[in-house]
Amino acid sequence: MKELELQYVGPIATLANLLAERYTTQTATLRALIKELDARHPGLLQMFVNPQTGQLNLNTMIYYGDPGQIPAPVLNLDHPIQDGGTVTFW
Amino acid sequence: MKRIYVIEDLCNGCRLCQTFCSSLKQGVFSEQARIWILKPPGEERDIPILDCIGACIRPIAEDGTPTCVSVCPTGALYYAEAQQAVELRLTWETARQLQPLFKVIAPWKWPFPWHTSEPAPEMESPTR
Amino acid sequence: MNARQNQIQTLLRVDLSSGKTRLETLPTSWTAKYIGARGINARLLFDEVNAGTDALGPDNVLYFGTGPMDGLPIGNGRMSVACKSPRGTIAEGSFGGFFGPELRRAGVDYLAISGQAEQPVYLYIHDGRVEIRDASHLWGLTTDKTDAALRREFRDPDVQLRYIGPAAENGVHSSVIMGNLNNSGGRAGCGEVMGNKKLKALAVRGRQGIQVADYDAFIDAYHLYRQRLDLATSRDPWTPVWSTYGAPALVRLFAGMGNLMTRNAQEMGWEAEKAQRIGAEIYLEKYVAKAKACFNCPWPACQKIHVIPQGEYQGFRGGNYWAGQPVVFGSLIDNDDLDLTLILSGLCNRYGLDIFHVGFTLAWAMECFERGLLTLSDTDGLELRFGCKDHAGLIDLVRKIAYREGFGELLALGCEQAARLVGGGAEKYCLSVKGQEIEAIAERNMYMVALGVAVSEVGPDHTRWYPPYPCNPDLISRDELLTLGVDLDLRKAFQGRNPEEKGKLLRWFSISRAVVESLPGCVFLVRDTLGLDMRPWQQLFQAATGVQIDYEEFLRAGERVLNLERAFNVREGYRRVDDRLPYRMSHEAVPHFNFPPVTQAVLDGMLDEYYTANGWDLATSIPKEQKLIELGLEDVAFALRGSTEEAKQ
Repeated sequence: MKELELQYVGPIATLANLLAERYTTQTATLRALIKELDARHPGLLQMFVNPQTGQLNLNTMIYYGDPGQIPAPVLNLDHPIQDGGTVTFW
Repeated sequence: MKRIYVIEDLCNGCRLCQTFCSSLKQGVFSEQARIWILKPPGEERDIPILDCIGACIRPIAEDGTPTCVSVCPTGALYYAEAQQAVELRLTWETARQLQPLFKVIAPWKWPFPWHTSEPAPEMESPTR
Repeated sequence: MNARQNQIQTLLRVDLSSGKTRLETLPTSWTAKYIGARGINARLLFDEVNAGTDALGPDNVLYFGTGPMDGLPIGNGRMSVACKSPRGTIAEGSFGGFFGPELRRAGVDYLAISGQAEQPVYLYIHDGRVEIRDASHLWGLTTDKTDAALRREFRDPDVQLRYIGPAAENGVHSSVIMGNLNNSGGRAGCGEVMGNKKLKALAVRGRQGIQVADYDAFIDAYHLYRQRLDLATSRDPWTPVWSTYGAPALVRLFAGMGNLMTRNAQEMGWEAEKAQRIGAEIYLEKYVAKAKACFNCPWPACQKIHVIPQGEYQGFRGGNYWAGQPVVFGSLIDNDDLDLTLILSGLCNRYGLDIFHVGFTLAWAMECFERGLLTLSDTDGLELRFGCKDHAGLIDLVRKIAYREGFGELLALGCEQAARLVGGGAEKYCLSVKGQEIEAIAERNMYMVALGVAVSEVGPDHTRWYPPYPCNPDLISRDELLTLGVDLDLRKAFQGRNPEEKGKLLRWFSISRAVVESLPGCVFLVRDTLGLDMRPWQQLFQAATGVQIDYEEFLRAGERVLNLERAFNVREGYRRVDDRLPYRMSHEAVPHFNFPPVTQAVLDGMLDEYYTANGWDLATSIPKEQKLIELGLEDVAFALRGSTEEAKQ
């Protein structure tokens, strides 16, 4: 089980109706995490993942940091996530 | 018959409508148009005033939408039949109760998903 | 229909000492060569304000410049204001709102105001002429009261205004010019100079239309421009956020990334809960009354009007909460009370104070107080620490700065002069360059920012190379970028703490943003590919003016502007040594994130690359004669010969 710190900024806060939450998951990548979170926050998948390319939508950003690391923008949705990581959805 | 409707609270005073409208006849951009934005002193109110049925002499939108409506960034102007106009207005009024975002933009101008269930009393955030 | 042509640019000269005014036509060749606004202001300033001119004397000239795009949908009401700064450099800034279009519709594109009035005056411009009117009934009024008073006088809701507040009247460092209540500009010295000339306000009313040369081509180009910026089609992650929630959304993101200046930039991170309390989401939910836009802005809510909903300051109204305010009146002074942040920002607008001057000088003072360099007797009894909870005391202190009372007198000088007076190492805590306080963007995590802050001719001004964060390099192929004149490895150029390619990146940004600011257009709208691909801007310019110009020539106009501004500074004695960073950024690492300081060695490498790319002399930063001749600025080359000879000795 991985415990993540999730942050929702601006339009994503409107989508999730939340600013931030602690979330537990067994998923291994950002892609899988988004898919799982979509059930909880409908529309998240549509917001972030381009249905044609499977890549991150060009008008969104995700910042990810492993525990103790500085969050950085991530373009590759197959980026692995670790216990204690932080994810900011922009 | 479709007409142009106004949501005053959504007008940010940009005057795109007024400026583009003024240009349609002769390619001259000015303040003389069939729509103008009244700005009472204090910079806080912007009130669209229309004298038009939306039949632009040469609309700039390909689908022929009245120019003022097509350039408005917030959705303060919309073009609809009467019944639909009522529905759209109600949609905005409801959305505004649910999400603060719709203080500044109409939901039909927001192309992204948003949280639609009952309003939460406060936005949640965890304590560390 | 009363319409004016768009190719002709007019200059209205006003001498406040003699009362003489004259309307001239600028050479038509200038439109292609310098475009307008910032570009033509730079040309005029270089020609008319000689080296050594007393900035606070009658020979300094204050220029207000619109440009060929103003009054048209992509001008966004931008206007450039320029003069010689009391600090010695060129002072140039821009602001938006609705004044620019109105001035053009009154038949005037540029104002050149020389001399000094004996008593306070304001100018009323209409129908291509100007009246110099008595402003003694307005002198002393805050900007919001000035706005209200003039609107009552004119009884016309569409009269447009620019004005100064008590800060500029009192000669406070970095004071600004305001308009449309919440638009500010000219912090590099223009407000001070306007106050020094006893010019309280400008009022304008115009009814002419502006004829574009090729309307169909203009509309075609406009469709593309909107495609790049509209929510449904913009391929830019900043568009959805900036155009609705606004720039304060950065605070929560930067707080955990080492990009947020906290406690006078001693740290670059902040607690997430504090960031939330002054962040864009809470602001939109609880404070925003409505959206507000500049003239013809394609975005729904870049600006907003807000009201404090409850508590001691309930009902306090203001506007324009962007990225600067939540930092300078938030993390920088360790305040997480949004009411206080908005009040301090709002007071700066009303007094006509520069938020960066006030914020960074307050933060400097707090650090000095905590280190014992300032005491309670200095601060009029205010416990001036970071996280200060004496809100009434802080609010009163901002008032004192505007009126130069008590402790405010020291702070009104700006932190560089104040630090010199206090001594004892206080200079190390002052965050300024060329006498001007920095802005809220992280130098030690983004080396392009460090370079930009160091070299900027007007003192730190991020709008000259905006934005500091990367655009998506996948949107345009490397080959296409080369044809667009962007010869860099974009991925490397945007690596924050890698000094490589920064000089070339800054050159590209400086030149292209100079073009945008000369059209004028709004640099906040260089989104999607509009910041790399200048062709839509070129097409709009051609369609609007009828001036046929190829892409390279279009960019060259921006390079001319940059060189004119640098040359102005060179003539005043500025050299490479003045392109430096504040002590903290060049000597102190960022704790917790462990970013090293941007050492002189690192800065030197970037300066070398920047100067080389620009064709400027490495030792002095003086533009080389060959470069100036290539740009068609032979007269500037001639004027700089004296400086070049001196530098060789």
